[in-house]
Amino acid sequence: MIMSLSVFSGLIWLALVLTIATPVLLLALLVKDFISNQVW
Amino acid sequence: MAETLTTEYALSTELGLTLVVLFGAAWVLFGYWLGRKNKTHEDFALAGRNVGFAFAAATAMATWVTSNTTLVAPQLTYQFGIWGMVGYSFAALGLILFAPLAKRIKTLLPNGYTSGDFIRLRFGRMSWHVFIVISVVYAFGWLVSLGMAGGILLEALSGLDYHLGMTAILIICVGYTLFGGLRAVIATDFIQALIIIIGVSVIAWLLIDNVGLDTIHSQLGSDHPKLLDVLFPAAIMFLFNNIFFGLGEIFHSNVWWSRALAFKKNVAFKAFLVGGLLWLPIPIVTGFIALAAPQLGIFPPSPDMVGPTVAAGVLGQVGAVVVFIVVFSALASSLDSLLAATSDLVTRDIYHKHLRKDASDGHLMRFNRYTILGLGILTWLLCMPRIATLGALLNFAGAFVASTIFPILLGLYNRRLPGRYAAAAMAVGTAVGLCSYFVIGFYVAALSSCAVSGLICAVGVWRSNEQFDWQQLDEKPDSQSPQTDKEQLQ
Amino acid sequence: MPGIIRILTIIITVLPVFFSAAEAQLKELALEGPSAVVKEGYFTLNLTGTASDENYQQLEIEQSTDENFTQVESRFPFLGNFTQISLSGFNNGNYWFRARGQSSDGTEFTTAPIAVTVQHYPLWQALTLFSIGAVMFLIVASYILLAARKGGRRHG
Repeated sequence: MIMSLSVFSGLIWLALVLTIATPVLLLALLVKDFISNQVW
Repeated sequence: MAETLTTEYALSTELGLTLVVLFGAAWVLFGYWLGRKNKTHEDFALAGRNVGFAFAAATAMATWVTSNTTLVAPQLTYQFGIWGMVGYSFAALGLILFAPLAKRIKTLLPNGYTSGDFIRLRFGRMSWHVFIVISVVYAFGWLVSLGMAGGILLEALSGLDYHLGMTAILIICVGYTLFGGLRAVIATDFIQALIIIIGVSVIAWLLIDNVGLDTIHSQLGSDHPKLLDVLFPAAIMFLFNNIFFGLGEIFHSNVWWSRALAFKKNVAFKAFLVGGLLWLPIPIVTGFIALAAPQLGIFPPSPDMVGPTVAAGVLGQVGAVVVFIVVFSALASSLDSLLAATSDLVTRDIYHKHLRKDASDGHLMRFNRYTILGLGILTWLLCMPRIATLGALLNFAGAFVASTIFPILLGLYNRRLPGRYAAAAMAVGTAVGLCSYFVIGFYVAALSSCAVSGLICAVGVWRSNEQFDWQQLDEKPDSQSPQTDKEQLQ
Repeated sequence: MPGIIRILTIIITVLPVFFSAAEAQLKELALEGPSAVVKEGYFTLNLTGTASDENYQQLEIEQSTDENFTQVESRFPFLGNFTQISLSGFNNGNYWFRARGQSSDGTEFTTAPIAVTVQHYPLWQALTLFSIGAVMFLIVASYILLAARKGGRRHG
């Protein structure tokens, strides 16, 4: 049973978008910790 | 095309060496700067037990992004196709399921240092011995394979001599761990995580742009149909074994326990949960790189070379620089964590609890540093001969670590599991897992080990009438009065 | 010690020069593949009998369904100077492979064909193992979730 092109592309794009969102989220969290003085 | 890839390396040796020296110097200086604040052994080993959410989530994620995610995820995708990359990404379940455990660990052992502490206090000496053997086999297997991967990769990309590259990466990681302790490890993890994610995203993006998903899909469908097959038998068999391997790695290893103990109390749970969720899509992105290989006419000599080869082959010099930095960061973020966690285990469990019970705090901190140095040198010596089979050690490490899943779980939540059953579960589980690895195949090692150890634990719980007192886990530090600690727990 | 290694290196690099002339005709390039039936759909092919200093050109693997290669179905180029190649994603079936290429002096060669049989694990076997794994995973995951809720209440 071959995975169809649409499912295949969907999977890759979804993973890529989520991956790209990660650094943004991590940096936002760090800024938040920094402001509230909760880094360490 | 093939000519340029081989007779010349993707990067010049000078550029490779320059990158290593630049990154190395930056990290060692950063580690030194972070280490200024370390006053006590607790500061050094557990970053003062006060790591905030951003660093906690990033370090959970980055440490789990090992060289395996950048090298083995493409390899498994090249061999097992869609299920290879999706299956590999399910290793995130290890981090996600560890989230409640981390919270529990923080509650039960507010003054604990290592996973060995827990096993000793909960199950006694016999289990502790079995557990230390498992931990050491796993830690050294991983350390040596990371050191070797570093040397091999630097050589493959830039022609830098294996021994030189391997030595450089070990010196750098030992250097900043030595200066900065866990604080340096966690802060560099944060930066390394950002580098890794941006790097793999750029490579995947450029691949989609240059080659196209539809071209990749149709090429695979005609020449390598099994890679797109949702019912690929070997890949289906590999799936849960890989998940249990991951669970065993995380549940037993002091790399994760020391993080749970170092995080702020209300942060431990959500940091592991978020770290796991963030990690989930990454192996799909790195694995996808391998699926483009056939369309590009790249057929590597061995499957573990597929990721870097495709990236460097398609994107030329820039791609090679990106791959170089990404893999270097991934190696460093795991190597430093392992060095720190293993040296904690040696300092705390073997030295402090068995050899020098009266050691002062400053003495322990010094000993911890010597241990990091010693581990680095030992790893270096083991990496020197470049024995290919040592890398294969990690393949059957699954049998070792999966046997610890149930003893740890029941040890944390169930009062009835007696120590002798936990010891037997780990020992017999490992033995059965190893046998099935050699007799049946790699895809049953972790599964059978976990199943057998689980059965032994179940018998233990069923037959015992022990009622373990959780208070026994809260070992008082020598300096503090027991009274204040008890109040803290309630 | 380094002295010995250097001498050995010289011997190893020089030796083939003495023999290559005599051996040029004798040396048989051959393709080696998996000896047993392939159950995972991936395998490695090796070109043996190669000289270490030789730089083969346009080295590639040809694939066909019959021994005589009446129709070449796929071609897989080797990566650079490597004489080993990993292929993956094959369905059940019998495949014939041979290596083609050019020595640096321009002589073309084709190796004798070899057969590789791919027979994947039966699906029921894979699904049985999958189900066992799934059940075990559910046990672990539900135990953690239940215990964490209980433990959380007690200690909260």
